Amino acid sequence: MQKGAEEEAQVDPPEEVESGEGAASLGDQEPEGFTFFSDHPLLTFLLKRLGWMALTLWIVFTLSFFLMRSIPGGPFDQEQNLSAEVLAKYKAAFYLDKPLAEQYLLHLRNALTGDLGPSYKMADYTVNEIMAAGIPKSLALGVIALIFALTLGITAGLLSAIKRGGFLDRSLMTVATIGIALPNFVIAGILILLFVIWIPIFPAATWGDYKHLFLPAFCLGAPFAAYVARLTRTGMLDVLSQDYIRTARAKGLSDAQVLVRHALKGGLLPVISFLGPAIAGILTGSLVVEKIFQIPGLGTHFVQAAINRDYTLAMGCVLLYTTLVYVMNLLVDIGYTIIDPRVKLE
Amino acid sequence: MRRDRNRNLFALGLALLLLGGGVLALQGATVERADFTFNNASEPQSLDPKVVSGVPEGRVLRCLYEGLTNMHPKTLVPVPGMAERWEVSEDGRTYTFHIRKNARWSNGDPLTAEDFVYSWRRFLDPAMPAKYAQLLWLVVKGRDFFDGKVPSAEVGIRAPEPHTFVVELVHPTAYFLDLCSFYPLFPVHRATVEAHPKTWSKPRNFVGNGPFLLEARTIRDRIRLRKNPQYWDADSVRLNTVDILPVEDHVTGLNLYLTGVLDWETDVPQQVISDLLKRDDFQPRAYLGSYFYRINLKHRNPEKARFLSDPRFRMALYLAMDRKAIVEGVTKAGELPSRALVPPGIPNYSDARHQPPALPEMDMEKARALIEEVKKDLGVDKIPTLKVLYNTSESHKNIAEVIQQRWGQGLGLKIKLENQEWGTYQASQKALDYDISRSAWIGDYADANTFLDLFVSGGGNNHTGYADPIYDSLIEAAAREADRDKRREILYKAEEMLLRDLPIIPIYSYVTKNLVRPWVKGFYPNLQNVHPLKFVWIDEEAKKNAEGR
Repeated sequence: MQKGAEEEAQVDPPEEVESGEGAASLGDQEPEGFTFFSDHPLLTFLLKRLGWMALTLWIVFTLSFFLMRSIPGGPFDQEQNLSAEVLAKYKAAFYLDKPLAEQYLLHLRNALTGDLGPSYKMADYTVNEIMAAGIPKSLALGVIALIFALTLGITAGLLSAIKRGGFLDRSLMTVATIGIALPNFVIAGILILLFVIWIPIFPAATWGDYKHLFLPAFCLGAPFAAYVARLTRTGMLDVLSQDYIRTARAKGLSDAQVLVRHALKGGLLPVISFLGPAIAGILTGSLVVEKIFQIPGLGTHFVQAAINRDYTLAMGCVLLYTTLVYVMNLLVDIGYTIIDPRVKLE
Repeated sequence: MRRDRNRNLFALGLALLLLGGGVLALQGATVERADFTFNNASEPQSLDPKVVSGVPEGRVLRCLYEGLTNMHPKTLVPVPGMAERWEVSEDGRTYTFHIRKNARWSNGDPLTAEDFVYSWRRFLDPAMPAKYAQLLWLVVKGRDFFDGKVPSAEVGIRAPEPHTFVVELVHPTAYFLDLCSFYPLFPVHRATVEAHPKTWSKPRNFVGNGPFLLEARTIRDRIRLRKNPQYWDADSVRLNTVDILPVEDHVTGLNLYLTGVLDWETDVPQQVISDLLKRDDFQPRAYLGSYFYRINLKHRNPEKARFLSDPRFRMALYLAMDRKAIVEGVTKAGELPSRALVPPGIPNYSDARHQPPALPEMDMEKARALIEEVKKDLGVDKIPTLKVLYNTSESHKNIAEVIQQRWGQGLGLKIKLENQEWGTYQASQKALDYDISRSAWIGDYADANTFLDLFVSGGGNNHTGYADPIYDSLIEAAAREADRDKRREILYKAEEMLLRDLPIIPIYSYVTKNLVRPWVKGFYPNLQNVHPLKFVWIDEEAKKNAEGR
């Protein structure tokens, strides 16, 4: 509450909003804990971005709405056993018999109130319920995939950069290239054969404990790990050739100290900027992995909704993905300004 | 320095957030293994009998509810369910069911004839009918009520006494008792449905009358059932817990079966059938389904229509089709090549004692002669390129390729293959926007009518443009005929007509593809591939021995 109030109170002075420099220097005089939140550029930045997000969502909603309905076959047309009379009544019950423009306005109005309607194909649930059940699962999968991507990627990148040109470097980068090239369902197939069928240490599929997430998260994270490894290597090599590193070495610091205290911060910048697209990619890229490993997350719902012409659920997933990707990118942008002082919000 | 601290805090915060998220999401996810786990291959549309129309829904609903009659697990003939006995009037139009006195809902409420009256009226509700509503048009004034023309009280469904349920039919219906065990006609608990109109089918509210209770349900994850102690025949139910998984991908399903998670997998990937056939736990059996090609008799393109609407041309297509090569080279699970629409094994129609109409075997010579004859009569030399439409799937494609090859090389036709994704394919078929289209039908009940009435004029699943008043009248006459033998003869005539006119080209009849653990007992092969879990049990001894090995 207090923080919010402070934000509100600080909106007024116009000169601070205009100049990022001024705000930053002002911020320096603030009590420590609050600096981050009282920076005016941040608030303006957030408001602006949220405005854009609302517009983006509306465009996505409109496009998806009409695209979905332009594909042949509706949600109830696929059930062969329905007689024509029953079909007509079901279409009427879900407004599917109304003109498209009217349907659009009805759905838009409902969406604005946060009601995405019932799922056409899972009649026991509303779209909101299905998504609420799916998000934590996809998120858990994504988070672990990201942890894999970062730990494996950064470690491999660092080792490569240190042993530049050596055997280790070349083999790690070969693996990374393969990792980028292989689609994750191929990786999944290989891993299942290895660790489920031949050496049964992981379950084949379904949702359960951490063991159930290991393989899917690895498959999902692997291409990103490979990418992170390459980025880390490039970034580190770039930094290691800088003058200040030579200075650090000249001061007599050990290799490890130079690496951790001086080189890492600069060397990881490319990885940080890759985080935005990576998070977005991991979240939206889980469709195939979720299907192979039967993870009841958003990806599975999204694919099935498209196949089943479950308009409402498909729309819910599209909007949710848009929001997630947008928010993640926003967070990464903000995070970047914290890590790299040269970057300012605008 | 402050930047540094911010930076470190940011990194730490991110790391904690990531870990916290992971841990949180996994909480409470682990469940202990159920006595019996099977893959249902899809998330049920609903647990409301009114809203469902598919095989996977049937498997779940038969656990949670029970109809007036039950299916015998081996023969599938109707046996007492909620009704302990029944009488049929002499004209075959009035059924009087006596509901068993110890019939109860899972919350302990007694189940009475009123429950069926309520449920069946709800089934026909003009505002929001059941997906299978047409089933109860069989009942006097059922159709009128569905159309909103008469009040529900006029429908031929009554409960003159608490345990007596009377149904009046428009005409005698040979398979009515079978219908009473069909899952859409299961009863629902009125008080719960009315108290929670939108959420009554959720585990927290659910009240059923079947052998199992709905303990938990997580979307596209699992349905957990537990034995229902209130069930009238609870003593016969031997499984305490059942898990139902909705794994759509059959490769994943097979992995789950092979690693011991599943006790029963309901289908298998096409690619591995030859390998699976070597196993004892994979035994395909005849299944009540037909695979066939539809032909568009009302093609909009006049060039194509000339050929497609000529029965001789269609007969040539049939005669040149190598069904043996398809079942032996592509499907491989022991499917039978078909020479008729109705699959074999239907009691009193295509069982061992009866010989339904059938087409001749493959005959290239005759096929070529017919093509020449058609060409000559139409005065054309060239037949336009025809497209075979199928929904995207490896095995449909392989089958179409075999056919393309025979029709191409054998008959000199130009055939193109076209695949469409399921929804689009269905829409094309419905709109008669195809030349020749891959099709299949799984019977709802073990009676030839479920196949033959597809092709009545304007039928919702006709999709060929076939319309013949004589055919329609035969189907109608069969529906009214109470005598089993006479009825069979009428239906034979109808199928004969269909095979003469050939709006469809029969290809093969289906087999079941169940993978079942050897220690699963009370699981019997049958034509409809229906396996009520009420009768299933685990032979612990056999299981221990097998696992010990």
